[in-house]
Amino acid sequence: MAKGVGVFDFAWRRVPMRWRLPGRRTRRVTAALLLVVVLLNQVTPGAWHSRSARGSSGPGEICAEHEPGSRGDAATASLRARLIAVLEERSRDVDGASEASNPTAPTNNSPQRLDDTKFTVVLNTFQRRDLLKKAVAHYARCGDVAEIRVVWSEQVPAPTENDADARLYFPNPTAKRSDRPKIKYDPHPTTSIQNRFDVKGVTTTAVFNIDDDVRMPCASLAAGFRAWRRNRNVLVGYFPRLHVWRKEMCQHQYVWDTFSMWRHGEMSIVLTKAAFMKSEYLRLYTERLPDDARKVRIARFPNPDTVYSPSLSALLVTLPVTFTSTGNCYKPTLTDSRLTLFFFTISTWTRGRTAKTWRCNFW
Amino acid sequence: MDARKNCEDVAMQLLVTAVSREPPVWVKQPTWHFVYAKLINIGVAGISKGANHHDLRGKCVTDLSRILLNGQDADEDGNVGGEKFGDTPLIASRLKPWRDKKY
Repeated sequence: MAKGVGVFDFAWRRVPMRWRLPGRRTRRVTAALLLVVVLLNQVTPGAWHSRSARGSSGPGEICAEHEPGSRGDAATASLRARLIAVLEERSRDVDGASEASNPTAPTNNSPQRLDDTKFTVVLNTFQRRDLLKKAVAHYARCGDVAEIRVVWSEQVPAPTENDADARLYFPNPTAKRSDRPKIKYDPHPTTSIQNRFDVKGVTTTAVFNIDDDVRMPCASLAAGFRAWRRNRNVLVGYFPRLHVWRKEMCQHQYVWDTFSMWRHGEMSIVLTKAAFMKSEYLRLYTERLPDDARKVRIARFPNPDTVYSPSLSALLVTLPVTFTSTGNCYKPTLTDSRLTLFFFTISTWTRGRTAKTWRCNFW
Repeated sequence: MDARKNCEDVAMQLLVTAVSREPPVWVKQPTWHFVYAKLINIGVAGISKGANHHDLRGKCVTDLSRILLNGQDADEDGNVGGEKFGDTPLIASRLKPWRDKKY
């Protein structure tokens, strides 16, 4: 490539001259590309389409249970209040306990006096010994790791340091380092997948949840920890996912693959496959999650036979405006060029979203 | 969740978002690692490899949201949370990786 010439210039010069002129072939190619874009829209409806689908469904539609304006705001608020109460209650308990055992100790604002400069790796594994050995060896090598807690749900005795093959389960790659992480195996009586949040006695404020098949590079781990320190209340992780309300199916759709995520341009879930969070939240999970949530079964839905069918109106072109959700309000903004390319779907924002939009005082 | 052997991370995300009322943060992993991990994980058995895994995950979001919001306060219109389909504590945000700001 010639110096000072951009990639696009370079590519454009490779295109034969007669293709550059707007002849029949150009028109044909353009039409084919447009068709592809439209078809893609039909296969994976993008952000624009899902915005309208996430909105209201009027009377007589399939999922009539859901009404606009009642997205469970009040319920979410009261749920939040209860969860925070659980957190505070527990930290008060810990305060009380420590004061009782050592009454002369000065009362500290941070209730549990946890280590804030490092994090604990909570490694979830199940019958994948080769991956476990690799993962333990990998995370023992990383900085900022205070301790590695392996969630041992296999119903066989956990490895100990006295085993013949202890070298594999308790690797010692940086023996000279004084801050070498301790490795601990926590046996559990059940094989439940929820054991991974049932970790007691964490000594750090941050916890890094990880599956045995993910070996995040140490540099990314450090970057994630930095990000978590700036966002302490949320999950900070490496695998984003999205939920989209599909009123046609009367349930949420789970968006997971890279292409669809990019098409939607949004995220709402971060997988605990690899994520930082407060160690308090572990307790929140084990103590607060209702029992019926723990053994949730597939519920019956009003009309399980209805599937999503693309409509003809989805072929129309609309304004390049998208809605950014902040909390439960939807703020209309001009979209970036990436999205405008795909705006071949019509939305019903004039029908469902405007009331919600104008009620929020963004202006 | 024990019945499905699945969805514990969705439940965790629901709880965390319910407490913080903020969307989660995405830290991007290096692209080479993303591709490398995809390649070496081909053929590794796991819970997320089933055919209907992702359908189930959508159902999980719906069901767990309803279970969590059930029994909470009603809003001013008298809509009890969790009774309506589609209610969820989850909050969406733009798909943008976190960047350390340099001040």
